[in-house]
Amino acid sequence: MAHTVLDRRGDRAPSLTFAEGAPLVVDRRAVLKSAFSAIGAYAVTVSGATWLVGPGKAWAMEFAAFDEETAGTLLQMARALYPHDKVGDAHYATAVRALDDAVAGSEDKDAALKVYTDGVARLNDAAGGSFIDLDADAKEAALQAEADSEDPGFFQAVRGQMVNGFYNDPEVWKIFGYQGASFDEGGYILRGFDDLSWLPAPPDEASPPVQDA
Amino acid sequence: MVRTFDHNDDSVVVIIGSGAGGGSLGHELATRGINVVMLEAGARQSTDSYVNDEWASFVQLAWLDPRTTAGEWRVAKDFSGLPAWICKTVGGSTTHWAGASLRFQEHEFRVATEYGEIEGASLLDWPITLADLEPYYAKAEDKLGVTRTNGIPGLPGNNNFNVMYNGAMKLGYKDCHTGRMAINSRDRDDRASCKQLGFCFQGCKMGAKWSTLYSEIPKAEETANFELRAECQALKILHDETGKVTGVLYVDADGNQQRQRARVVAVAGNSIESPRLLLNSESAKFPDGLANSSGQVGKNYMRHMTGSVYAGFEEPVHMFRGTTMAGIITDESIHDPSRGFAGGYEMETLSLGLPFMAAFLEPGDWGRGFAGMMDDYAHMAGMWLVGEDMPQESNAVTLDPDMKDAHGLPVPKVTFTDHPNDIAMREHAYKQGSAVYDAVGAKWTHHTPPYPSTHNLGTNRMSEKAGDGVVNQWGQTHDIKNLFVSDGSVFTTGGAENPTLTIVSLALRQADYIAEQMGKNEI
Repeated sequence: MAHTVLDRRGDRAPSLTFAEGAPLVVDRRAVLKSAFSAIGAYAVTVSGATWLVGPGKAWAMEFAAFDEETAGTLLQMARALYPHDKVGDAHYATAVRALDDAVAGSEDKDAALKVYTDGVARLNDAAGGSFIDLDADAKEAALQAEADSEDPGFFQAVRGQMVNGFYNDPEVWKIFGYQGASFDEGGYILRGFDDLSWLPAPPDEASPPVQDA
Repeated sequence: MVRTFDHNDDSVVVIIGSGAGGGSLGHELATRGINVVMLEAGARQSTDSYVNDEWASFVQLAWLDPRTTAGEWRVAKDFSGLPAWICKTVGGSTTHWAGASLRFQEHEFRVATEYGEIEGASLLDWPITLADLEPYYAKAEDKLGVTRTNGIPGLPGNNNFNVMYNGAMKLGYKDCHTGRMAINSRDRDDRASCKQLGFCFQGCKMGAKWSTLYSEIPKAEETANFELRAECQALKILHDETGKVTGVLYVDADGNQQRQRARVVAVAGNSIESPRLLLNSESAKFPDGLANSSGQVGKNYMRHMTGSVYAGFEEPVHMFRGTTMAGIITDESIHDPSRGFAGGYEMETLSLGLPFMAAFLEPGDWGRGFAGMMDDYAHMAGMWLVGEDMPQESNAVTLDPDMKDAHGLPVPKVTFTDHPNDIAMREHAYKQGSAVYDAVGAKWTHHTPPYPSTHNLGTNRMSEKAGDGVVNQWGQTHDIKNLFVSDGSVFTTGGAENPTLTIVSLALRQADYIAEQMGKNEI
C-alpha cells in the first residue's frame, strides 16, 4: 500500500514519510485511545502538529487548527453521521480537514475553533468519557442530542461538510459506483446506459433503438 | 451582425428574461422585423463552458440571490434561502430543465368548471381553450424538436427507464414510454443527437436538449433586430403620467444603472422575479405595484405537487447513465376524483448524481438508515412525481419587509402551504411510485420530499375578468396595454404537465398578438 502523506495544503509532504521502521514521535495518550477505537485511523501529535494517521500508516494528514482530541473525535463523528463500511477513514479525514482549513482561514480563529472544541467536549461529556469509545447506538444518541440542542451549529457544521464535501469527492464517487461526467468519453451511450440485464428489455415502441445501432 | 440599440431608442420591445418565454418571444418578434432588447440578469454560458459536476454547475447556473421563505411547506425548513431551483443565466431555466414537453389536457384549461368548488382553492378557468393553443403547441413542438412529434423517433431508454417500464407493466399501467422530450434523438436544427451524458440538469454539453441559449437567441441575433444584454438585472419598470410603461431601469454588467426606453415591455423573469419586479416598480400612481389593480400580482403561487420515489435493488441499475428524465408513466395524469383528490400527476424517471442524492434524498437526515440507502447508490432507480396543485390566494410571492438585495430592493419572500388536495395527491403518488418498484423486487423504497421548486407558476395569472387576475388571454396586463408577461407566472392553473412547452406556446401566441397590435398602432 502506498504511504501517502498529505500536508495541510493537500500536497505530498516529502519531509515526513512513514516508511517501515522509521521513527515516529507518537503521543502516548493517542496510542492508548486508539487501542480502544473500533476504526483504524488515529490522531497523533508530532512535534506539536496534529496528524490523523491511517491504518498501517497508509496515509497521514496534518491539521493546522485542531488538536489531537478534536481531530480524532471529529473523525469518528463524521463516520457515525454517515457510516459506510466500504469507505476508508482517509475520506472521512478529508472532510474533517476541510473544517480545519476553514477554522485556520477564518478571521476570528479562536471563535471558529471554539465551536469544535466545545462540541467535542459536549460529545465526550455525553459519553461519560470518550465519544470515540461509544458503540454505534450510543454515538447516534449523543449526536441526536446535539442535533436537537438549542444551538445545533456544531452538529450542522460537521453534517453540512459531510453532505457537501464528503459525497462530493470524486474518490468517494468511485467507491459508490458513481461515474460522474461522461462527455469527454463520448457519453454513456456506448458505456452502459442501457446495460441492465436482470429485467427484460422494453419493446421498441416504448424505448426505440439508438440511432444507427 | 449583432445589432445594438441606443438607450433612448423608444421603438424597441424590451424583454426581461431570456428563458423559455422571453427567448421564444424575442426570436419571434425579431423574425417579424420588430426590434428587441433583451435584458438577462445572468451571464452567457455555452455548451463549452457548461460543467458536468453537480455542485459546480449549480453555482454556475442557479439563481442564488437572496430569497426568503414562509409557510408550512417542507422546502422552507430544508432550504430556507432557496425556495426555487431555477436559473440566472442566458437561456434561463431552459439550461437546467430536463426536456419533458407535454401538452396540457383539454380539461386542464377549465378546472374550476371541471373540478367544481374546492374549499380553499382559488380555481379559475383559463380564458383560452386547448383549441386556442393547439396550433401553437404544434409550432412549439417543431421548434423544440420534441420526440414522438413531427416524425421524430423517441429516445432510447436507459437503465432507470427499464426498471420503471417493467414495474409499470407489472402494475398494469398502459402508457409508459421514453416520453415526449425536447432532446434530439437524431441530429436536427443544427443540434446534435443525445449521447446520454447524464447531465441534463447541468446544461447539455451536446446541445442535444433544446435551450434558448443556443437556439432562439442566436437565431434572433442573426436577424439583426435583436440585442441581448447579459448580466443586466432589471430593477424597475418605468411609466409616464398616462400609466403607459416607457422603459426599464436596470443595472448593467459593470454595476452602473441604465435606463432603456421602450415601446413595449415584456416581463419573463419566472414566477418569483416577475411579480417581484412588478411589485418593486411601485410609484405614486401605482402604489401597490404595476398592473396590480386586482391585488393579484404575486398571489396564487403554484409549484406543482412534487415528490420523488427512490428504490434500492439487489442488482445494479446505474440510473445516472443517460438522460435524467428518461421515461414517463402517464396513466395517473387523468382527473379521477375516486382516487380522493382532484387533478392528476405524471410519473417521470429522475436521477441524481451522488452529491445531489446526498443533499436531496432526505434533507437533514443522517445515521445508519440514511447511509444504508446511499450504500445502494449504484443499485438505485428513481422517479419524480409531478402533478397539478391547487392555487391558493395565500400562497404568494411578496416583498420581504426586512431583507434587501445588493441594489437596495426588497428580496422576494415565497410563502407556500400545501392544500389538502396536494397532500392527498402526493400520498397517492408515493404509494403508486413505490408499487412500481415493489413490482420488480425493490429491497426498499423511499419517499423523498419536494426539491426546491422548479415549476414556479401562477403569480401573474391569466383571467377573463380584470378583477380575477393580472393578464388577459394574450399575457397583456389588464391595467397597462403595453406591458406584457411572458412566462409561467401567467398560468391560471398548473395542469399535471411539465410547463415549458406551454410557456413556449403561449409566448408564440403572444408574439402574434404583439406584432398585430404594434402593426395597428394599438400599442
